[in-house]
Amino acid sequence: MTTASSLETRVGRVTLKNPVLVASGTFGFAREYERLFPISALGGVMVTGITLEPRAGNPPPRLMETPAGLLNSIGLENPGVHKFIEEELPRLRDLGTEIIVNISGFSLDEYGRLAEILDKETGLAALEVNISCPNVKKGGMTFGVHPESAAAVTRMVRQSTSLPVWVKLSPNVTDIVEIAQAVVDAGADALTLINTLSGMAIDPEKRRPVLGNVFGGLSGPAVKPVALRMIWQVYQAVTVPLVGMGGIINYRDALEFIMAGATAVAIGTGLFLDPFSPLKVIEGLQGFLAKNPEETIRDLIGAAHCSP
Amino acid sequence: MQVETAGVISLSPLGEATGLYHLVLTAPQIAKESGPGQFVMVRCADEQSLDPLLLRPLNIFRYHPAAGRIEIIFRVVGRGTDWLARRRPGDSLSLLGPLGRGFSSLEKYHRILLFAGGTGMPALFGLVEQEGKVGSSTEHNQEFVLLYGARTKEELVFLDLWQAAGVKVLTATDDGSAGFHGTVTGAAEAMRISPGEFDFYCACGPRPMLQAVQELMAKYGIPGELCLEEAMACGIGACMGCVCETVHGYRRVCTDGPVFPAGEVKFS
Repeated sequence: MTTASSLETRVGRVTLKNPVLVASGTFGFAREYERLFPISALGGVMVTGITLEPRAGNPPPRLMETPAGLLNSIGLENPGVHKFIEEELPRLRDLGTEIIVNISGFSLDEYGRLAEILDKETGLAALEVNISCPNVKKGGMTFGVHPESAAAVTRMVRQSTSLPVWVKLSPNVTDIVEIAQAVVDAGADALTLINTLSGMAIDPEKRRPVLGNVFGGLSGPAVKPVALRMIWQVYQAVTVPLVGMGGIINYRDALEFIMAGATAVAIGTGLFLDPFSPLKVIEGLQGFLAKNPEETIRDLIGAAHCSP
Repeated sequence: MQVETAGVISLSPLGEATGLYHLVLTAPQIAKESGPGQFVMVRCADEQSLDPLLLRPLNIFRYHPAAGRIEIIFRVVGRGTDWLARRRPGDSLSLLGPLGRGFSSLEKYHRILLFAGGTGMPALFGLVEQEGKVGSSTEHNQEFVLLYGARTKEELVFLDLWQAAGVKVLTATDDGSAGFHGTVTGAAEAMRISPGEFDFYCACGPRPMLQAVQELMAKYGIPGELCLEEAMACGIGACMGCVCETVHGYRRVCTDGPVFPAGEVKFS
């Protein structure tokens, strides 16, 4: 018989009741989805990216559907860390799941200050450091594309908090392994990957780019093979746990990520096809494990790397 | 708000070659909770299909709480609506709704001008047909005038239903095939509205129309509300993808709207 504990997984110091999280930027502060299902069913919530100051975000249009994918250029619209702590965090703490706060800075100093401010708060499981947002011109992705700057951000956050530090990697790099190794050496407790792939769309009638920001980040099933390959490569190169994301919409996708080396997975764009998709993934994983009562989800991590 | 599996009762094309369809669904929960100006997100793909990926936001035309039904009018504009137009009675659809902040109560107003453009028309019908009762206009001693614009005569649909609800209907077409030859704002100007003739307006249609309506009504000093249409991802306020620019900064069309007080939305 499968028990709940067969789904339990550990991302470093953080124990998750199941390996299914929801990805930053797709779930807001859980206010909306809370009206549809109990958030406590999830392994954790990665809340929308927080910056030091409030941000208005990018000019619309911010969305463009592509074949099996979605381009977005939200641009980190958020109320800023202080309002987040005042208005969102008290409620988030009581949701009965692990809360991971995604942070974005525009300078090393800002990353440090964000980590310091959030370090004082209770009820957080980890910080997810966004060094890879493709939708803001300064900062964001520029930190994530060079091993030196990626390591510097990681070190700064590491020094500023005792919370677990998860670093979110950009796929928009020549060699993701090089970046992964650099941030692990700088003290990352875990890596989350991948952020969106930089892309764009043009409206032939208007003869102009569709998105107000010209470029956007591609997510959804279209990017899944790329994400999976990167998990595979990074798993072989580092020993810290990985949280895999990129186009997961059903439990079989989740199994692929786990077998490629992910300790946990996150669902983002999949929520937009079906708001219940995280719950269905959890159910599917339970069903899969039920076929082999000896096995837990932890036995499947990286399983595809072993030759039979 | 909930996810509800709706059953297709009927799906009929409207007019000839208009691309417009009338969809009647069983959706008891959504029918019970809906209000004027609210919408639903409809999944427009086969169960295992990933294309199109996103749900489609569609205005609710009529809702019948007692019968557990809702009606939708949509135009085929792409892959999603094309898929929807090929459903048959007995098919199931996955709906998320009702969603959005709809129109405010019109109770305190007496002479209300409605502006409808194309597939914006359905969003307004709930204002004159509430609780399943056609003709609430007489009940509250209200008068409604509808200015309904479309590209051509064929695309002006359900005029009889509006008239049966006691609404005075004036039409406008781009090609002059029916009513005023031009836009709904052109038709409004031709009406020579006198001061005090209307005390409120509601509008739904394409952005250029809403912009023109907002400007004209501001000139006449008539307050009102505008219902926007926008592509969406989550539809419930989480993703920040469907924002429009307002005097208060960016606002989500899906949850801060789709209905906004006149004067708030910046169109240019």
